[in-house]
Amino acid sequence: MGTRVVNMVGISKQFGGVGVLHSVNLCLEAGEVLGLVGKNGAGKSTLMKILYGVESADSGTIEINGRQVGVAGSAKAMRSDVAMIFQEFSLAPTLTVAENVFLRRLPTRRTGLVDVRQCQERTSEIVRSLGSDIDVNVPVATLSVAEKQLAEIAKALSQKASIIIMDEPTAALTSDQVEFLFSVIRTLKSRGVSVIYISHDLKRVLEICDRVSVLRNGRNVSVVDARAVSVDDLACDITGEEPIRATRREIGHPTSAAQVSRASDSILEVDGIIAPRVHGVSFALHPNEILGIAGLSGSGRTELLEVVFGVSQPREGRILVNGIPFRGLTPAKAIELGLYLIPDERQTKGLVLSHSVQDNMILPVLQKVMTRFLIDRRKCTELARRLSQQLNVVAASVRHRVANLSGGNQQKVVLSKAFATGSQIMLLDDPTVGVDVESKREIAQLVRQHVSSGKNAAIVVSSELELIAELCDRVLVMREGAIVDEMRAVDEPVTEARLLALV
Amino acid sequence: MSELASAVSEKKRKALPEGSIIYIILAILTVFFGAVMGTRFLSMLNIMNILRQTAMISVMSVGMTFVLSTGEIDLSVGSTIALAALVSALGLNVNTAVGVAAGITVGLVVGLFNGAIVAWVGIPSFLVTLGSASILAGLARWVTDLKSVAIVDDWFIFVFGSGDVGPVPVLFLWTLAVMAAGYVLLNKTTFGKQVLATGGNAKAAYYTGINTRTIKLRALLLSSTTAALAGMLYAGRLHGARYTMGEGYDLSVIAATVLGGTSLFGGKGAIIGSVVGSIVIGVINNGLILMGLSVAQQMFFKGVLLLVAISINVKLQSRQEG
Repeated sequence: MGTRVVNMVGISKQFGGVGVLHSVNLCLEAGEVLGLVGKNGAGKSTLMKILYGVESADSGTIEINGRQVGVAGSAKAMRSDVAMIFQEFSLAPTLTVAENVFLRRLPTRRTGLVDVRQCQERTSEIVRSLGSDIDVNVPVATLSVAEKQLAEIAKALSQKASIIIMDEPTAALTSDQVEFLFSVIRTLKSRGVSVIYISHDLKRVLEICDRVSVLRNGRNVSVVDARAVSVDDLACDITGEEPIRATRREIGHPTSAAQVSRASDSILEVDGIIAPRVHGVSFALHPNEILGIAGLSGSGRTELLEVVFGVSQPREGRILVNGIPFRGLTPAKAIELGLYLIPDERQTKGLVLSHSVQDNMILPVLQKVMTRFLIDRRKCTELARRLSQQLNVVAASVRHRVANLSGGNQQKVVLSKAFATGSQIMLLDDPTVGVDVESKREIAQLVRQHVSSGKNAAIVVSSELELIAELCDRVLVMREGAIVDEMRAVDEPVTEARLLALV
Repeated sequence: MSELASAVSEKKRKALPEGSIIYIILAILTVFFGAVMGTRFLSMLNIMNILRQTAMISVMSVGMTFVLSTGEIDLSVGSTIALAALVSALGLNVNTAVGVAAGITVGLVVGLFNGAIVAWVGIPSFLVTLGSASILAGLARWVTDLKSVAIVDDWFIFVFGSGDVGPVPVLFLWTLAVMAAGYVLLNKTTFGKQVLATGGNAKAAYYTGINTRTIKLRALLLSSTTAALAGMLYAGRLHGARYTMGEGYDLSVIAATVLGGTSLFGGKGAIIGSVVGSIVIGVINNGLILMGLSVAQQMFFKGVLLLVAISINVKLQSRQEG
């Protein structure tokens, strides 16, 4: 094979006494595209930050282009030959493509002024060599996501980077744009540039990569040839599940198949929804059912839930709650109808961080804590204490600021708002992100409890496929804004590895 | 038990109970001016005078507290004073009821105008109210052709500004009434809670089913209505109206409200604090005049004192929260 450009050996790293990387090895050849896969928290990002030089390793050695480099990370240690392209781009939106590409070392004339022409010419040269014809003189803010990515790659190349790390590069792209990105990656390859490609989209990983390295719980699991491995095998490596017919863990709750399959008594029906990132989605939700939607970030899952909850309006399609169609839904109206959305970003969409636990909890049910025309502080405290107990929110007192709670407790405060409103249909968008293991278990239990009473039901969207496999009666697989598969727990075992192979 | 223990330790950690800083600032200023000028400053007559002069700012600071609490700002209150005072004075030529109704109507119309643009067009209130301030100032000059309008309606003069009930100035009663109403509205009603939630995190409030746009509109409506009331009180106190009324009041009102503990960034409002903050500004104004400073010197030192007071306040508050 070709020359080895990166050789990381025995990299270990601890955060606050918890090991996140245990003697991990990684090597990369010149002109190779290496896939790096694993669940969230497997150690991919940390490993890449160590390679990039922004994070230090506790032990191990790193060789880049034949040179031994230190493992103590700092801004100084950032390697000039390694470039990292994050999901949130590091481009200045009001500057042009050309200015961004040369931002840190703009060419100047003898007068000290920026040599705009040279900047433009060199940028457009790079951009064209990648097979694109975007105008390098327009502000970055006017570009599409794919074009921004191209600008990032151009920036990396202008810095003579020979190793480019891409973190989930296809998440926000349409399939045409993905095709274009892949053609750019192939061009890079042919020029001897190496790419480390991090993604949860296993089909695409196998499509573009030469080899794939799998991490699990901070350890190397396998390094496989992309042509010789199937998506299912890769999914099993990632999750650690048995490859064939893994048996479903026995934690399910009693749901009769007959009850679920009768479409007539659906309490929520979504019919042909078309909205940004959602291309014609239909499904029905039945009483006492937990419906899972498995999809990667960027698959349109969040947008779909937000349409159902009335945050945004669909271009086409209908939403029926208990058989009655509704147009022009708003969150206020949706809550009135018995829906409640636990949003994906609890800190920006779910909570008023500077307010107390109590003030957050009473917010959707202010009418319930009044006597006559005024809010009764005793009733507020009573309600907040009752909810805290019911959901096991651990806080010094209900007057404590929500900002000071842990992620798990913050999420339980958001959930308590749904319980406070007495909602029938809970919509949960990635409810366990950044939540400790114990709280995860409690949240799953709360959802089960919720759907077991009356005609309640829940929809759970998550990138943690383990949660979906464990919790849901039925799973819809969402990909690029459409439902591409459906699985019923009563028909077949729904496992994390199977879902991972499908999304 | 553990709840009690942590509540105690929380008290210990904070050197001062929340919102008390403004009282300390007021005490320091009072002691300072009292020491320099003795009974000239501390006489009952002068104290009533300060309360009279401060009433307009106090009344407006209650409205401003709602606006700042939603995370917005209202820079048009100063011009609203002038226009409401003038329109009210002109209406009084017909009869008392028309005069009062005309003044309040100015407040309602300005509030709806500001609020509608902020809520439905989506321009930041900073720009909207800066623009409407100019519109209103222009109107005030236009309708009167730069002339003053005298008020001879005795009932109006008594109720709005110049009367005394026993030893208590009517203006002080207005301050108390507006403060009490504002306090209940912000702390004890659904509207108040929704105002604070909107300012604390508008997105989260919207996801919780709150119509954040109407909340902002209603807050701006409150602010310009209190400004119109302040304009009428001003006119009643001076027995007439003039387009120069209320000049420079925008900053005094915002400074008073922030001094009182309301966050400029929303989510936190203190009605009583705002009124005490207004009195601090009144004390500064009054003290500097009694010290015999020229107008130029007054402006200079007022600015310095305000910046120092607000800086101390903001610093101590962020330390309490951190």
